[in-house]
Amino acid sequence: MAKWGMVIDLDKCVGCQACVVSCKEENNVPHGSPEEQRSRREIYWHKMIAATKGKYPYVRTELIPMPCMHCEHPPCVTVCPAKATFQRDDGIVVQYYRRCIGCKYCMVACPYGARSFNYKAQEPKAYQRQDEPPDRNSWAPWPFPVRTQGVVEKCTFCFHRIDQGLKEGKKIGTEVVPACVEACPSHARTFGDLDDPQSPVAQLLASRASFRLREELATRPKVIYLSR
Amino acid sequence: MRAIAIVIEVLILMGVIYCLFLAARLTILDVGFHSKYDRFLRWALGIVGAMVSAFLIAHLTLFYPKLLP
Amino acid sequence: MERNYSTIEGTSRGYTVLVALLGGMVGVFIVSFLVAYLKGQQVWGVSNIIPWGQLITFYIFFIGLSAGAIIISSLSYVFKREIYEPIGRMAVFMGILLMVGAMSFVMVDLGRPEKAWRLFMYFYLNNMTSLFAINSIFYTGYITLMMIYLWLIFEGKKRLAAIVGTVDVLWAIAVHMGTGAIFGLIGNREIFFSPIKPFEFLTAALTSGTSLIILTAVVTFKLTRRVIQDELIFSLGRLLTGIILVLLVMVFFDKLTHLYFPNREATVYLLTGDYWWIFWIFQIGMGIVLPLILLIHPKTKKTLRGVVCAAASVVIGVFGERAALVIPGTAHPQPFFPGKIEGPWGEPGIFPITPWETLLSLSIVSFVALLFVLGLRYLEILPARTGEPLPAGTGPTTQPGSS
Repeated sequence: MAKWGMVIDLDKCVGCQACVVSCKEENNVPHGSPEEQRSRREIYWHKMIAATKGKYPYVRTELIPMPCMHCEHPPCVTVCPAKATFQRDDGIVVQYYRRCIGCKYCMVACPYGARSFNYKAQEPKAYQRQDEPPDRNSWAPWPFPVRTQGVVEKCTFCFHRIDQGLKEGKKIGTEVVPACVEACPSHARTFGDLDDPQSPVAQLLASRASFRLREELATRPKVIYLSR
Repeated sequence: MRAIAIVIEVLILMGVIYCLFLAARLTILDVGFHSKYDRFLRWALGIVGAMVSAFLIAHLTLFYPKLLP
Repeated sequence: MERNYSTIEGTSRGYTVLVALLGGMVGVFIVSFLVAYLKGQQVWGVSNIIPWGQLITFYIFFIGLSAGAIIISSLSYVFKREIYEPIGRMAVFMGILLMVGAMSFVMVDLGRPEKAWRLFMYFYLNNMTSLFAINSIFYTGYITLMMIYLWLIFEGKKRLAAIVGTVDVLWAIAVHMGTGAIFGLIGNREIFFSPIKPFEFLTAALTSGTSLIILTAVVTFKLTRRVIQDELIFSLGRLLTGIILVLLVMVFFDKLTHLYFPNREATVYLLTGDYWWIFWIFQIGMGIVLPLILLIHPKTKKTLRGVVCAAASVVIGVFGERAALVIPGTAHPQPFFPGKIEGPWGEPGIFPITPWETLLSLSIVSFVALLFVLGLRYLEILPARTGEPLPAGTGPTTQPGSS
């Protein structure tokens, strides 16, 4: 079984946040209003942080894109009481909106702040898709989730693309990648099977020193960063 | 159209809740509770029933499917 | 010694006004819940940084009060200390109602409460590694046990009540330690993560439960013109002193451990950051220091007013203790990467006190109070007043109480 992971080369990342925006576009994640941004209720499936070390004039800033880490030992899966979040065989941590009761325990337990709560129902026109016929354009099945309010959501590694790609027999990691990997202009992101020694991710990991975030918490995230 | 369906469904569900709570009250009284507890039981179940009904109305108003065949 | 219990008459104007007011607040409960449910939880103060707000704070507070009340009631029925008998029934009844209140708080906090039945599909649809799921087993068993306990007490079956009471006390301890473990087992939140959290929660439950019993007993007996033995209150006060000292030791060691790395930064934020006042003024000041002074100082510890003030201070202080865990615990920005995280992701969260959330919390508290007041009227909770005619059909005709 594949073990899907992502490698992000921080040396190539320019901090343009195309990954953040393309994730919102692909998954119809709403852009928060200024009010929501101010009160920290905006939904971010993928965020980017800037960490600064040192004092002027010897300052260093790291720009770190953070999707859901799809950890091997996910703390969110441990604490979800309704089994709404679970780990698939291929390593993707899935959020099943139908079971989610909105208790927000997973949001408290996630060490990476990857989860967002869906506070209010989106306007119907926010879900209008232009590429679907009119009677289906707000009721399409996945890959167009019309998420309801009151549930927690997070990055899915675009598993809809992966599953569709596997069905069509395409190569995951080269022909089919998540939206953020596809959108990166400097090709800083690579997606693939961490178990496959021939995959580009495995080769990248073997080439340079890599680190994961908050490794001391032993969550074994599968988004691995190559340092600058 | 949706509003009428919601009202009908709420009435049906209120009937169900009423029957369920009535059954609970009669069972509790049968099991051995003194009839002197009856008034408190009716009050408590009545309040809970009212809250459940209010919640049902809210839930159906918000989540009743938008598309009807 | 047989004691007779009676209902209150409930015919006074004060009582009617109280019931009407509390009933109005139940209406407010329904309205404020509907507003939050239909508009979305953004009308509250919660955000993606602080996902748990007033409602979860009240939830853990009420579970603590309930567990504490049951343990106090066990002094009368399990340990057979006769001095506590007048308040025994009231304590068990309060235990049930406070638990109902706690369940109301957690149900309305859920984003989708109608799916909460999943938590009760044990081992099948729920995830038993989650403390919420384990707690759902504990809570349902606890409420059932308390109802059986109260019923046995009403029926006068003292021996069975003692057995069920023993089980109930142990179960109450498990319930509240489970609630503490919800927080204690979360590794990434430095303020939460501690093996001592279940014990700290249990001790805080004992202090707050004892204090609430003291307050309720004094107020209820006074308003219904019943005589309460001062020695009962002083005895509870001495018990309270001991438990507060234990709580002080626990809080001290918990915070001391957390002041060492790797938990230091978040704990320094708790002690000196935006929410320092919740910890220092409420948890330590009103929850520990002020009550200890009132209960130890020779001038105040002998007066009823001193003990009651200490009890009131403890109740507010322990509420502050719960809040000092929930709000700063999640407000502290998580250290995703070493260095200073710029922008909003590095800022501590802000938890505004919003009107709808506050109304909802207060209305659920009023709902619990309404059930209590109605219970006094329709159930025989309080001991009969000295000299009042016995209700028809009650047991032996010995004189009530030796007060």
